[in-house]
Amino acid sequence: MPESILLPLTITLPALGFALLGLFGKQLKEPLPGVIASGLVLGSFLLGVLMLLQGGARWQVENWLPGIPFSLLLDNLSGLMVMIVAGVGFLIHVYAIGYMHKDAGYSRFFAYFNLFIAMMLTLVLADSYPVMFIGWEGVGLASYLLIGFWYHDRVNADSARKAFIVNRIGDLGFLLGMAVLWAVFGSLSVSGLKQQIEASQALSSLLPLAGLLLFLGAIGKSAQVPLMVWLPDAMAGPTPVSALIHAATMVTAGVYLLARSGFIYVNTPDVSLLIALVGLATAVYGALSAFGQWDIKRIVAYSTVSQLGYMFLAAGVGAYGVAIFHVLTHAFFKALLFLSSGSVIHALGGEQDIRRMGGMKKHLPQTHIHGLVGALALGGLPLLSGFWSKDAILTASFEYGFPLYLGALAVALLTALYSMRWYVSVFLGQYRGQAHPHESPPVMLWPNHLLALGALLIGFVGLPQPFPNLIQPFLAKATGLEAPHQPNMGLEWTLIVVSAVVAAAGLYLGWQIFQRTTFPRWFIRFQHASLRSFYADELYNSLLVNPLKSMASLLFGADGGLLAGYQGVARMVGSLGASLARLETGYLRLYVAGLLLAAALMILLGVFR
Amino acid sequence: MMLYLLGGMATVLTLLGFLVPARVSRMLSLATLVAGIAYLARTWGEPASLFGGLYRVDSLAQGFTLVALLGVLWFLLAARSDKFEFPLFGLYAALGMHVMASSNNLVVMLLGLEVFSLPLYLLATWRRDEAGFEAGLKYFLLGALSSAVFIYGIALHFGATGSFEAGTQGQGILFASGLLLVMAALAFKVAMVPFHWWAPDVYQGSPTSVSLLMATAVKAAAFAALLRVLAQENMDVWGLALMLLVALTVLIGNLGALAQNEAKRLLAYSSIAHAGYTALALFSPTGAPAVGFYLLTYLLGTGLAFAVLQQISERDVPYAALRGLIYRKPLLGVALGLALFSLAGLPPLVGFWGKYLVFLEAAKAGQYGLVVLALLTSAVAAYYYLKLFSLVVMQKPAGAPGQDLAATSLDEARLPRLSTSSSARFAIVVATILLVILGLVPGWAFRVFIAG
Amino acid sequence: MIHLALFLPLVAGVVLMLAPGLGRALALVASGATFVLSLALLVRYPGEGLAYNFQTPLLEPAGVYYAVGLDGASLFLWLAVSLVVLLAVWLCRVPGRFLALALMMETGLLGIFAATDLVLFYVFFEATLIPSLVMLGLFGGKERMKALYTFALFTLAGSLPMLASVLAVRYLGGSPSFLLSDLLAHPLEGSAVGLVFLGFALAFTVKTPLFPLHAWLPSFHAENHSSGLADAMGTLYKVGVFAFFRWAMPLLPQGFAELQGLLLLLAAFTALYGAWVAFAAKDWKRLLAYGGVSHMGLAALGLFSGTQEGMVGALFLLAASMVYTSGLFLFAGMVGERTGGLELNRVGGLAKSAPALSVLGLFLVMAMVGLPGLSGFPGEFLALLGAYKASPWLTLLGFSAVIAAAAYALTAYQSVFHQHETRAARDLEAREQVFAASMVASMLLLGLYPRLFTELLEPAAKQLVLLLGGGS
Repeated sequence: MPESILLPLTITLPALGFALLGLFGKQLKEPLPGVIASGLVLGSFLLGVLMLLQGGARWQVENWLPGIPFSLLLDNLSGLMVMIVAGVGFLIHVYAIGYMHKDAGYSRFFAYFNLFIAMMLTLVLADSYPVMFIGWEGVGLASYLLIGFWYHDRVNADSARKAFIVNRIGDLGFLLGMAVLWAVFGSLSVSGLKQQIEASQALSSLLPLAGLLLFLGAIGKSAQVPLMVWLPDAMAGPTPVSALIHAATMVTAGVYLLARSGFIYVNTPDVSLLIALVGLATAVYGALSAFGQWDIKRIVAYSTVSQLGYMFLAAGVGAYGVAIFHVLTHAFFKALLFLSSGSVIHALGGEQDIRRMGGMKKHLPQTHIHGLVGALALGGLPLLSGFWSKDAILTASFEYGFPLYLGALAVALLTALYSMRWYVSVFLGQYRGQAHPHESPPVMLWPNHLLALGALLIGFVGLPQPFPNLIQPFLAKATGLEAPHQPNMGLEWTLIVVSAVVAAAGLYLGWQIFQRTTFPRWFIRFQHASLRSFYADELYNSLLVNPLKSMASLLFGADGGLLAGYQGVARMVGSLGASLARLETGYLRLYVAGLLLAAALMILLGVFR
Repeated sequence: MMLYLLGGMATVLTLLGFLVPARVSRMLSLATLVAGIAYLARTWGEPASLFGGLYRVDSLAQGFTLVALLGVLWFLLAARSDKFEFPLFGLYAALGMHVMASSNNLVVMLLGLEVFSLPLYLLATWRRDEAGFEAGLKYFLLGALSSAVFIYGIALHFGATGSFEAGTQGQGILFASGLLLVMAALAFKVAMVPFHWWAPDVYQGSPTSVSLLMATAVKAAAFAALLRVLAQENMDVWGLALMLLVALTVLIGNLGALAQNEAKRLLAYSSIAHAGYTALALFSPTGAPAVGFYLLTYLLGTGLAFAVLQQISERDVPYAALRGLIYRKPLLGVALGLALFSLAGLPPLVGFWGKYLVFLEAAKAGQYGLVVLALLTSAVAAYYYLKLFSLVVMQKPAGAPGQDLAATSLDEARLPRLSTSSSARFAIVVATILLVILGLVPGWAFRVFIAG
Repeated sequence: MIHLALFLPLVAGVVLMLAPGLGRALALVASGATFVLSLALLVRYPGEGLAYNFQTPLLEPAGVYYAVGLDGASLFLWLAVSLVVLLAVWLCRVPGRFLALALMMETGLLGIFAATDLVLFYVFFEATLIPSLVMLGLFGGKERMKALYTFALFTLAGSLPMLASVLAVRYLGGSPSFLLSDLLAHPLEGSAVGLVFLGFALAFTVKTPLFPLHAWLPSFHAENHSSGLADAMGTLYKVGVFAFFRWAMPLLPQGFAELQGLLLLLAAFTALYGAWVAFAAKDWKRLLAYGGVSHMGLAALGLFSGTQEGMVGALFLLAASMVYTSGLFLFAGMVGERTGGLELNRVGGLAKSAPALSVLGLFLVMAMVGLPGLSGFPGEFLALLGAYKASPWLTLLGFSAVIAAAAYALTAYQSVFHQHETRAARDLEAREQVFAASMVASMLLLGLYPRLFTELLEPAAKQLVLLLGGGS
């Protein structure tokens, strides 16, 4: 693979944008910052395309840290990710030009956005784990800044901080995972480790530990159970942020990490099973939590959690290509869902509660189309992109084990139901609010047109046999890992039909049910629990956060006590001195006695020496 | 010769004193001391002896005489008295110290001891008030007692060895007891525990300038004698006893100082502790230069401290009087601050090197236990030096810029008015500069003590 | 050149002390020249071993030399120290004598890193205490006297017993002098080694600082002048990690081996404990003090791992944290100047009226959190890699601090800069912008291209690994 200076340039372009807009953005007139930022991301995208067409590229600085190079690699896997990140990222940048119109922090927003793209590109292009970690934490920083973009609201600032801290738990796992790999293999280069592991006969007994720790990192970044609590709160940021960071790109970094490290996980079946189980649990949890939400964005957020669970399931059962395929399709339909949500919010002057929406089909005809396409793709309507990738996951998990398949199928049903709930509540029925809805400007509509197109069609790159499947061989070239089994065609098509039926049934049922106004009591109660995300936050607060906080105060006090203890010792020495000084009575007769005694002692010493 | 110079001038001035004004007498005394120091410098490293070896000027004698003379000189520069006897007593004391440092004969030592002790008894009572008399009387009575001990020790020593020569080898109970008694008497003069009883009361009660003299010059003479008396060959006789003394001295000196609230008394305890540190070097055969150097550094440190206190008051100096000194009299504040850091043994001040050298000698002699004890107690010592230092920099007097610390504001009226005489000022400035310079290049001063 | 760089600040400090009217101009010239000289020394450094060696007897018969020399590690630290002093002098508007003390302290600090004679090292190590104490005494806050005693007594209680070890290491080992090379050639063996090492360890632990000997630090910072100048200088004075690396560990490898377990445990505990306690801090100074303690715990963990990467990381973290922690203290001083106090709950929402200030703060806070790409990361990461080899569990314990760090740092930052705006504050003026730009540049340079400096540290670390008996 050729050395190419273009590779670091890909990252530098948006980084430059960050620096420029950060320093001089205030002097620029709207929409110049947005245009510059979008242009730079487009530049990165084009560079990525160029290098991908050239068959990949690599670039490295030796001994960036002792024994650890700063190395970048663009192969098919990272190339595809660059396409997603910079491509979808570009569309969302353009959308934001309209969405952030007249915001006081207009240029600041685009500075952060460019920072995010730069860091995300670092993450995916890295060929060594520490470099990936730069991007990994860098996107975390960008996410922190963007969630808390409207920082004067305490809630937003709190959410941002929560996201960062929860992610740090995962990051500790990532760090320790690297330490294990370093101790065992003496290298942290991804391709180097891959060669070493593939070449070695007996694998270190610590490999599962390394895998597990890296997986912990992925759990944090991709909001898997049990570290899922930050993602719904992250919706506090402006909607383009949710679309770009908390749907299309950053949260899929965990999946990317697993796929990149597939060479580790194929050797650690136990860890892989755990990944699959965590993925499934997350998928179920996210889906169930989506039902109770009233915030238009939180519904989509929980669907993201759920879909990320799907991807982990795929990675866990060894179908890394399929997981990435779902990342791809998900990027389109989820970005679309968020951006159409954003358009609705924009149209209603900031309203986010679906109880005060409805009837948008009439008011926002184009956005309605976008929302419908997104919801159907999410719900897995046959032939839309989400259908193909979800079906591939179902097939892979069927091959791995029937219980997993069953769980995944159930989630598919739930997904179809709640995606309809979202669609119906927002677009159908009568408008329940007081604002005067107006359709978005073209700068916001056009990105959605393109995304909708993608959500409709992108699934066709991964068709089941006998049709040509483009994406799997393309990715396998980079990972070197094929999907474990190729099921026979009959079984595959049976599964496809089953999932098509389930999805279609779910969508229809959802469309029916959620147009109602009354619900059975059990559903209301379920909805209450779901609204509170099944009390995960409360649980964490009472079990972890609050005890840790009070412990901090306790230790703070104890630390003062420690000092007081030292001072107490000092005082004791002092009072010892005081009593010694009291020997000095001032009475001459005592002095004489003392002197004579001492002299006598001297003589005694002489005698009994 | 030094002996004639000091002795002659002292006698002449005693007679002249009735004729010339006190001021002239003081000038002449100062001149004598300067001449003495100059003479020392010129004949440095040249041994001399008189009276069949009873008076012997060797490198040890020269080094310690230098310290003693400097101490007396400073005392004269600092003190203010319109009586002509005052500088004279200083001269006599210098003579006695020189004699004590310059003889290997126990009887001559005793002679020297008495020669310098008597003027000191008188000087202690110079301030004619109750505290002064009390101090003088205590000093005199206890001093007399210690002289008796000294004489008794000499007698035993002579009985055991048939010699008055210090450092004669010997054995047996008689010898041991004699040697230890001599040591005890000298330990009294340097104020080592448990012969230290007099020091706090006397230092506090005497005029501050006299305390300066007692703390510095006297120690030099007595340590010279100790070095001669405690010969290495007899270490098995005096070793354990001295270890005990040192241990007690550094402990009680430093701990006792913690509870004080009057600066002179504090410095008395500090001087006790320093005697303990100095004595550490006695264990080593090569310890003499270290002892000399230590005494020089101690002269600079504690002398400076006393000199500053003397500028504040010849009487008691309660802590409150030091408050904010650095804002009222920057020179005195800085000097006292540096002196305290030097006494605490903080580099780069010269006090550190003194401490370092005596610890090094003790370590060479394998006395690690004592070294550690001494070091631990110097950490304790740091506390009370810092306490003084913190007073010096604390609380600006009203009107000065800076933070408002009204809670403990200063009662300006109750503080003595500070006026510094030019000679005392001069001495303080010189000593401050030396304190720093010698700290940076300790080799210059140390070389003085190993020459010859 | 090395002597000029070493003593120029002292001379300037003395002059400034006598003529405080010269003030900032003189201090700037002196500290600027020192920085340039350090830079020049770094550029001309051959890349390995001790360079610029010079020795002349200081106290001849006692075997004490004025002996100085610089290797990669000390050059790196020189650069950090001289940069911080320059920036601090540039930024702070304080009385001339305050600056004078800072300059005097700079000489002491540079000397600590340059000394190649153990006694000379001790002299610098202790001498630096004096200006630091005077700064606290003259310019400190209300409770400064208490803080002063605490600080001084902790330091002295540690370093005075160390003097016994200094003597022992020479005389028990039979070395002719206190020169590093002589001492290394006459290693000390036998039963006393543990005790001798302990003597060093106590002094250096106080100055690292590690739990439970860190207790002096919070009040020291809390009571120092609100400008942060004295805190910055105090941060530079936390040289324990270097002292272990240069003296205690190479001279007494056997003693280190005896105590390694305990030291690792202390380091790991300190890291977590400091970060945890910091979360409960109510003002900038204490927050940063505990945060700094935590960082030094991580550095010590790397150092005590006895591995090459761990030690490189420890020294890197030491130098980097000198810069950013000092920067944070000065930054806190800037915030305090604008809002009239250093309490964290005093103001909110400053980011609105003072965006540049908030950006500077964010950079500094993120460096402290150890965000990769900024200067806190490379050291922390290498220390982690090394520490894991020595003890996985303690590494887990200690490095849990990275979570806590995010918690305390961001919580503090948020409460001052985010949330509801309670008052407006002036944004950075030109002088402060220069400071901010230099700070950010230094953090980015160290964070993005650490190779520049890790390569300086590697040879020395490699040498120590050999001495410790590791040979991989």
